[in-house]
Amino acid sequence: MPNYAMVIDLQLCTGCGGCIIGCKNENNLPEGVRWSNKITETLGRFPHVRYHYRPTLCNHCENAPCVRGCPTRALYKTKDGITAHDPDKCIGCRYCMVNCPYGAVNYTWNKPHQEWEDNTEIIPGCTYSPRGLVNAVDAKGWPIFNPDPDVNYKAIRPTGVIEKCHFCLHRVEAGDLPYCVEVCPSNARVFGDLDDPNSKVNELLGMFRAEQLRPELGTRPKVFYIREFCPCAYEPGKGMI
Amino acid sequence: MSKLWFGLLGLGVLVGLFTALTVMSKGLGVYNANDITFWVLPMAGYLFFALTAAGLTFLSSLPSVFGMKQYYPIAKRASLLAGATLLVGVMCKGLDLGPLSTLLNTINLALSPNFMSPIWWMAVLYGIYITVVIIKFYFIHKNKWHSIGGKTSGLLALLLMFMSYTALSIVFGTADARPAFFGHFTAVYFAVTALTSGMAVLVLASHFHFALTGGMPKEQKPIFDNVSKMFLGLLGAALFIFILRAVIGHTSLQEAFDGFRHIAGSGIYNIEMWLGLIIPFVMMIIPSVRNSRAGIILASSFVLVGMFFGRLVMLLSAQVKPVGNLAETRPEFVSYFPSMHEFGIILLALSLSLLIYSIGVKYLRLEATPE
Repeated sequence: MPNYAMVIDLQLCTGCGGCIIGCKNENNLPEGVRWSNKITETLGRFPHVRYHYRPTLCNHCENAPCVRGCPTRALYKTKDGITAHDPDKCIGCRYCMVNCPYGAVNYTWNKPHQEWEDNTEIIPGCTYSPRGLVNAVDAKGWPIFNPDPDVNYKAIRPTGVIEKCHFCLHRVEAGDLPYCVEVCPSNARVFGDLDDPNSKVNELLGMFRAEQLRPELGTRPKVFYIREFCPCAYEPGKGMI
Repeated sequence: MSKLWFGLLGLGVLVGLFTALTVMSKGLGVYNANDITFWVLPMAGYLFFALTAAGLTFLSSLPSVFGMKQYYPIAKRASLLAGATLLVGVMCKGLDLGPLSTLLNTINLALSPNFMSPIWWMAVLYGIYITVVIIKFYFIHKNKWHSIGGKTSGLLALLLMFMSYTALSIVFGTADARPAFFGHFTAVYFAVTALTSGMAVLVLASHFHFALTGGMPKEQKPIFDNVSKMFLGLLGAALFIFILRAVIGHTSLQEAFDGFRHIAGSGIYNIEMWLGLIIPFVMMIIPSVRNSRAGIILASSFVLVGMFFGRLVMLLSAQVKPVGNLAETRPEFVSYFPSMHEFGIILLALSLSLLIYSIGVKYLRLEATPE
């Protein structure tokens, strides 16, 4: 069985946010929910400042505290090492949100895509209302509804349960790449089998020193960052005062 | 007990029920909760009532389990109060899960259990604990204190109290991602504050009862003198634990404690410290205040208000500072103020527990002792 992981090349990542948008579209994410996200930092003191951009997602930890803490096994590890979720078992206790040190779990507080239930036409008699548009394209929930995740998750998760990145399990099981990997215009994301010595993931991990987020917690995250981007240069010298 | 009192409680229950039904139909979106501050006022209500119930269960066990027979006159009252607070505490937690569809998923606690999960143990143990507390009260009420059923349920209630309280402590104690829950120190903090709030409820309820029924029976005066001293001792212990927690929180180099340090400057923290601990402790030190009914009613009321805020302080300390990518585009600390629906849930819990107790006072002879 594969043990899926992801390597993100920070020198290739342009910070365009395509992964975030792609993920939202592929998984029908409601307003305010991001499975694929980012951490940005501004460091230094003006005029010597720099900006860091780090794309984030669920780390699919080998020692996942969310899975350990879930009282009903709604969060579970698939045979491929992916941390997946079953909304039919989720009791909404949000203990996974307590346990996840990465902020990768979201709770569905309100009915998803409820803003698309509005019947108000923006220009009466001229434009669709949000609901009219959804009906016109024969979609469910929102106009760009993607039914694909229904294969092994709920395409739109119900109110009152948590939801999270599952490495696009519906695509992976069909032999495709997670959608964030697919849509990345600069090929900064590499997805593959950590247990296959010849996988691209292992090739990169053997080549570059990789970083994981908060490894000190013992979660053994499976999203690795390589080649931190830094265009800077300075004049070397024998110490400075 | 006047009709006005029962009318007010009935109104509180009705308003609370309307809120609960709204939550069950619409979900938790009616709370001012979000992915940063996700355990809010109803969860604080759960902690407050469930831990108070733990304290009350312990106190009700003093004569029957620990052989301190002089405390029989408080045992039945403490037992009913333990049941009432536990019931509303579990209700608060239930209304903190989600809409009805989510509540129905709780069947998976039985169908798909995760024995590694502290939350699973907490849910199961509290489920059994509440049943045993009700059975225990039934035996006491039927004057079968020393029957096999009475003794067994009394002992089991105490054991289950320890086990469920331990599970609750582990829920917070093992949350490595959120050190501001104070890890395993939480178990000590919970133990002392649970006993203190349980004692405060017992003292308040008893003295209120005596005030309404024309005074404390003479034979109970020495008992309540001892109870007052125990209350003072517990307040001292709670204050010590509070100071210890504050020292840990303020001196820790871990960034995760920034949330605690932020909350430590807030009004709710000061309410916990001053109203919940320092003022009642000082009041109870003064013999004239400690021995006056008004003084002790006031002191115990202050403790309960402060302890309730303390539960919220504990929850928010570990949440107000966003973790991981949730910090993106958000301030260093988020703010939180409860919604009307959250207040409605607390109103329901308070009204329901008071209603159960008032019915007990009126019909169940709470001062009864074994014949």
